[in-house]
Amino acid sequence: MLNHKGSYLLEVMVGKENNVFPMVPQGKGVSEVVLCKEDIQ
Amino acid sequence: METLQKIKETPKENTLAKTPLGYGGISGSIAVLEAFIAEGVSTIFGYPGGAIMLIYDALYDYHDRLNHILVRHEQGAIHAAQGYARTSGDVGVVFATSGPGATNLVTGLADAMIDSTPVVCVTGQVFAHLLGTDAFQETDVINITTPVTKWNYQVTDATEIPAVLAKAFYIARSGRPGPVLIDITKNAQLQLFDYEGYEKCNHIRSYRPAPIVRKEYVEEAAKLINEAERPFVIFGQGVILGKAEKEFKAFIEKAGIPAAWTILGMSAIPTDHPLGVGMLGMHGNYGPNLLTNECDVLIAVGMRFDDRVTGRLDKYAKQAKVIHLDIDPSEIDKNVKTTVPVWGDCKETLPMLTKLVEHKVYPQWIQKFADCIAKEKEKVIKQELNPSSEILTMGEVIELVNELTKGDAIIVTDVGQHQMVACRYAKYNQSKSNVTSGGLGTMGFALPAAIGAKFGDKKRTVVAVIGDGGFQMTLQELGTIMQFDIDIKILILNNEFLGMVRQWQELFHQKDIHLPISLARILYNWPAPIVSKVNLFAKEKN
Repeated sequence: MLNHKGSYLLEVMVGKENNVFPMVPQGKGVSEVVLCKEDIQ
Repeated sequence: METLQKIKETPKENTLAKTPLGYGGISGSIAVLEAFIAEGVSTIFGYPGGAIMLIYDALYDYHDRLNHILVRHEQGAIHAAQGYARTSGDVGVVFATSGPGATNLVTGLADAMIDSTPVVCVTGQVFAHLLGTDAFQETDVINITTPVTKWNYQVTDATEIPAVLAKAFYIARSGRPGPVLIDITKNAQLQLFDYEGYEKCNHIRSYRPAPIVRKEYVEEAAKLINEAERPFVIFGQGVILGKAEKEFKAFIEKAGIPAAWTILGMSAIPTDHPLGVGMLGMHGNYGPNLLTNECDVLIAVGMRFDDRVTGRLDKYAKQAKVIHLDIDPSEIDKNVKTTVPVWGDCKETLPMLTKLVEHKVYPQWIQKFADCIAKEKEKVIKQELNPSSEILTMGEVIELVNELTKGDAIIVTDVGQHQMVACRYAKYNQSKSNVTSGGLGTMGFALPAAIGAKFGDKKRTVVAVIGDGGFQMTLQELGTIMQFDIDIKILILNNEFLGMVRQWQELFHQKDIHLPISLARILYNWPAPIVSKVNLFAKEKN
């Protein structure tokens, strides 16, 4: 893709139900940042 | 001026002669283009229509110096202009027609406004005598765009055009940059007037884009920093917009203070800088978030304490003395109360501060950030970059981009999970490398913004990382990319969901009562490669 001359489109199928962490849950302070789903209260 | 001279010398062959008012002077349309030339514009992103056709007609004589990129939707034009502005450091320029053409710009204007992006939009408008009559494609674009522009103005008399455009460019690029919209009625585009040349604007009464720095505040700030035990710098796009990357680096290096970036401040210093501790914000790094509430002096540079950065304000850095360097006085004390406000251009204030701060190191304090990174690696990063399953993660793909581009590429992202993952894992060596919709969170931003980003810095590789949802919002711009043969690499990270919506449903709402928003494989049956984990890595590395 990067060596190709000109535009290139690559569709990559990734995990369907992955979550993005760390996360500061809505309504929480920054030091309540969590690293995984289980830490959310 | 060359074109103008030619037109003046050969009046019968130019567009003026074709106008019903074929006497001396130049038309308002030509005055617009002369303004662009004088302001150094080389690329215009636009879409024509009835009310702006006269300007397009005049553009024909300027095609050797003004490159017009015909997008497929006006939203594409303004996002492209934003991408251009972000990578070039200059003003992006847009043409659109009246009515729907103008209203299609609104999302981009709002995006540029909240992300401080300098853009000048010229919209056509119906003849002045039709204003207010519900004429065909008439809309009150001035009232519609007032809250989402730094300045807007309607021109109904061509004699105003040179001065108004000079003001437009000056306002867009000075102080805290932003979008400007100039609406020009058709009669003004047609009108001939005695042109006295173009004069750039560098002053407007009561507008103070470059505030006079109060030295006593800088001294007070330096004193706080010198007395601090756990100082922490957080920086935003102001460092990049102020072209103050060097000054910023000199400051943190002399003072020895760990620094974290906001999503838009990213790439102002290389991501592997020893004092760079990562990204702030809801999905930023663990350490910068956690330790914001442990520092004793918080030094905010060119950032605006967005709620995605602060979380709950009543639990934000309450223990810290806050120094805020910003060019926009309305940002100071807006969300977070400052102990010392340093109102000014950080290109000017940072060196003043650097001179006054002592050489220091904070090994124990910096170790805390390292401990947090170690914890984040263990709990999050390891699984993201080396998952145990055969299913690809977004992080793995970004890591591969890092490996192949060696941190030299411009990465343009859309909005959602892929954006957060790209910004968390992408590596950058140089400034103006991260183009994304920060404040407004505009899905559909990336594809057109990548077009503009390429024109803004043609020498660099542009990779547009886009989710399957956002890609389908502006995918018409594939037509623009094909027509103008624009060399951008589009990387769709398809998880067959609106991933961030799904994540919130899972974490905060009752997932079972919500319909999952599943999107089909977009390029199914298209002649584009859809790759599995195994051959992605094999193919790209060869």
